[in-house]
Amino acid sequence: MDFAQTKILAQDLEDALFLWEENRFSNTSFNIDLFIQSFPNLENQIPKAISELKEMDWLLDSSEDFNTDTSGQLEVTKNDFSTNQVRPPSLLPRLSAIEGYTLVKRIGRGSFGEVWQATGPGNIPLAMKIIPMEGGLDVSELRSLNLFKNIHHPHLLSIFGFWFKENHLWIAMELAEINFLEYVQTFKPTQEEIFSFFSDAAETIDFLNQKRHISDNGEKISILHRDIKPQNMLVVGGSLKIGDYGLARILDEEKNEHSGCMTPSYSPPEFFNQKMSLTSDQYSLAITYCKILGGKVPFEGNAAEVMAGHCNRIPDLAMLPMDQRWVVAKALEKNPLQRWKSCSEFIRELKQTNFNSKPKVLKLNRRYLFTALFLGFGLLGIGFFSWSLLGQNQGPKFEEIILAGHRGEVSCVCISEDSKIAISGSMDKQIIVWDLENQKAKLTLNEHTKNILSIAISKDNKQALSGGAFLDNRIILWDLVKGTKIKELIGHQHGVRNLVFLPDGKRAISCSLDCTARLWDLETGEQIHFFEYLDTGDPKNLTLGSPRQVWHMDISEDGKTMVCCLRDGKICVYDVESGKRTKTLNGPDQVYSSFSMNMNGTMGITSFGGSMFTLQEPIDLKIFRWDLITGNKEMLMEAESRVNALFFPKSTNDLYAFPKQGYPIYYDLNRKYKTTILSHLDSEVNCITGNAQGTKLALGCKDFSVRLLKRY
Amino acid sequence: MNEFEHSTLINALLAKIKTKESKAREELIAHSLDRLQRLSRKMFRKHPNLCTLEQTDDIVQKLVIKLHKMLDDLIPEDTASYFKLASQNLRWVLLDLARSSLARNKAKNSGDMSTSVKNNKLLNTKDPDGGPSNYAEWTEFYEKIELLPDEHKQLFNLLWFQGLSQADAAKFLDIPLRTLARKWMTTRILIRTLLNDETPEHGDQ
Repeated sequence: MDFAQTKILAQDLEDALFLWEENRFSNTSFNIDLFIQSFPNLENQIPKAISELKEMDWLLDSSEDFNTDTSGQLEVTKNDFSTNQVRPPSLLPRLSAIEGYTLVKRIGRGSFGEVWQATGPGNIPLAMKIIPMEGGLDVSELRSLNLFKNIHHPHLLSIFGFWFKENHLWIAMELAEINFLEYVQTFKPTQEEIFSFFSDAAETIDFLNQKRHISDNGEKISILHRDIKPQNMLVVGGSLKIGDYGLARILDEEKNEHSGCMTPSYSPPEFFNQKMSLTSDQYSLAITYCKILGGKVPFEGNAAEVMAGHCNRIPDLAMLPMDQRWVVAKALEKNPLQRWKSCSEFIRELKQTNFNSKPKVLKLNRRYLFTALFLGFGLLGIGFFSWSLLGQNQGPKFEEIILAGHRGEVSCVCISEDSKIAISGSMDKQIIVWDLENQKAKLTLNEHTKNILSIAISKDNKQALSGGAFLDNRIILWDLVKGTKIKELIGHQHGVRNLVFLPDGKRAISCSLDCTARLWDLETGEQIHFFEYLDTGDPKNLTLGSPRQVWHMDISEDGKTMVCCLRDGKICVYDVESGKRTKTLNGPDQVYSSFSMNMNGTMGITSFGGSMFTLQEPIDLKIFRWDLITGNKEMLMEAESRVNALFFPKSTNDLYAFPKQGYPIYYDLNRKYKTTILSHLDSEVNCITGNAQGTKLALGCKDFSVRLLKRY
Repeated sequence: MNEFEHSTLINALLAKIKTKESKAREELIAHSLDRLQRLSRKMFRKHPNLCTLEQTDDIVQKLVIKLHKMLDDLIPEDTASYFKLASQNLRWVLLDLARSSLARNKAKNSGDMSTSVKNNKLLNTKDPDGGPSNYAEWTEFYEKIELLPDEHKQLFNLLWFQGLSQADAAKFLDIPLRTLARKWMTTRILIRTLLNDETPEHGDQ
């Protein structure tokens, strides 16, 4: 089809269509019927052309629809009187279209319309909200208004009456002194007071959300507020009241879309997809919490960025205390079903963190204990032999401690030899040093410009190494005592996937997707040597999916042997000092998703992650044990889905595998049996490490948390 | 960063590349990577579990290699040429991505996909946001864009691939915003017409 010569639309139709396009973004009261009637020759063609153009709205840059108000809040301005709206003649002080009510002064102007301080019959002070509504109210809107007029709750702003006059909806309501944000900024309330306000808000939103309100036709319905934000939470007589409930619903029905009355900074992702959920208000409440407590919202920027943030990005919760982030992050889940069950539950969990309290400790094995007790009693009668057989099918038991603080998936984690410290690196570009005795974040290290791919800690717990992802490509040596950067090791041309300190603490080995492995002198910051076969560090040789990319690496306890797993499935064994390759084992053309090695470097265990070419299916789900001396391999088990991480504590016969789907697997290498464990674990695991005895394991999770597992 | 700063920066980086300053090349490429990530996320939005961290790295690397090669072969004279070439490379990478994802789905569904694709043309989709709802549709979208007339393709490149706002694109093209808005409307109609063409031109459909 040659479009260069094709005229798609007749000129007059294109003119009309453009006129419609200009109007639809500037004025909500635009009457489409009147518009079509003004083009009598095109009456049949315009609706079709409009509908076809609307089909391509997904290509539009939404930033055209928004602007930023002076407070930095994004507001939709479609209904603002400052645009092309005609002000009603009575909208002046001392006048009113409603008999018995007098406007005193305008106290606000927002996305819906204007709010005036007014006096009602008997000179009672009240607030009058005036909303432009071209074409009047239909039956369903009137029903909605009646419904809300009859809803009473101590923390809902009361509605006294409503009228439709001069193409405007007039709503008389309780007069609030100040909104929540202004109150916090002006009076600086204590944290207890703020929590008390949020408890009131949560209780009220839950009340609205409950299926208990009687509609006109007698059905019980639940109500979504849809515009929870600090400006709609008002402080009256020292307690918090929620205003504007139901307006969103009424206005949305009028326009049959969400965007006209929501506040993008506070809107849940489902609103941008024209969907709603009973946890939508909870999402907005969580954003409000960030704004009130931390002074900013998690997604900032222009409208498109804010929208993209809600829909796709990890919320930036740096404004909140570390312990509270996981609670708020759950309320800000993109999937409404994964949020807290109610706003009250959300606020209750927040209260429990109480700013400096310890992270939540879950006894993961409670169900197992009950099950074991139950089975134990039953099996007593059957005899010791049967009982011991059953005992074989039980995996180890763990206490789980959730360490929250990251704002992105945790991509790497390491644990110190004395198990006192764990360090995690994340997609949020941050490194957190965790004090495992107090179960708290000890240090946050910010220097990398991309995700953190690898992390290592020295034997004396005084230094750490971190490796950046592609385009950062740096290794950073950290002083863990001072919490500062010591130096950068520069040389890699791609992400640094693996790092390890040698036992002398003065040298380190790094492996990268640039197809190199390098030995470094940490005192000088200079590279000592490449490792044979893995020395093609010239960026010009960088090709997509090169078979020599190093995916995993480990060293023996004495630091003399290094083992690398390459993208093409090869396992290479090296002499560390000389950099010479001593053994190469060939695997299938699959990348390894995980690798774990024993203490003396003679045995390794692998799982696969997909085709070396595409990194996708088909995935070989077999887990192999490799004899790194003879090159023989033995299949240990087959997982049901891609194993993301596996770990073999070096002094034990235990193997832990964490598949993408399904329960984690425990495998006893001696007795060769497997069982599932940690059935309560509610996040996919990206990486795992632990001490040599297997008594403490640290998991890096997709839900941004680090989970510390203590075996007992 | 507004268009003026953006354009000036790119011009400065292009000048530096000409003087063989290697860091400039990386900075220039980083500009395109951000857009790639946004656009690929858009495509994968409905399939959040599709990409592992490593796959994302591969996609990014693919574009970097293409852009490195592009800058090896020819250093664009100005920002406009850079936008054009970078957009073309972005389109190729996204098209590859859509095609490979489609092929994988086909393999998974052992041939059922071709039937479902025919029954699920772009504009008949029930997807609430109206955009392509599967890889076949994304493939078709990125293929058909190439058929746009040059002036509309240029506009599409600026707004979609380079992520400029309409106001910035108007400044860049030195035309009034209203003219650009009208042209953008026509571009969208053209794209719709292209996508509505019932004659499949590509084997994988």
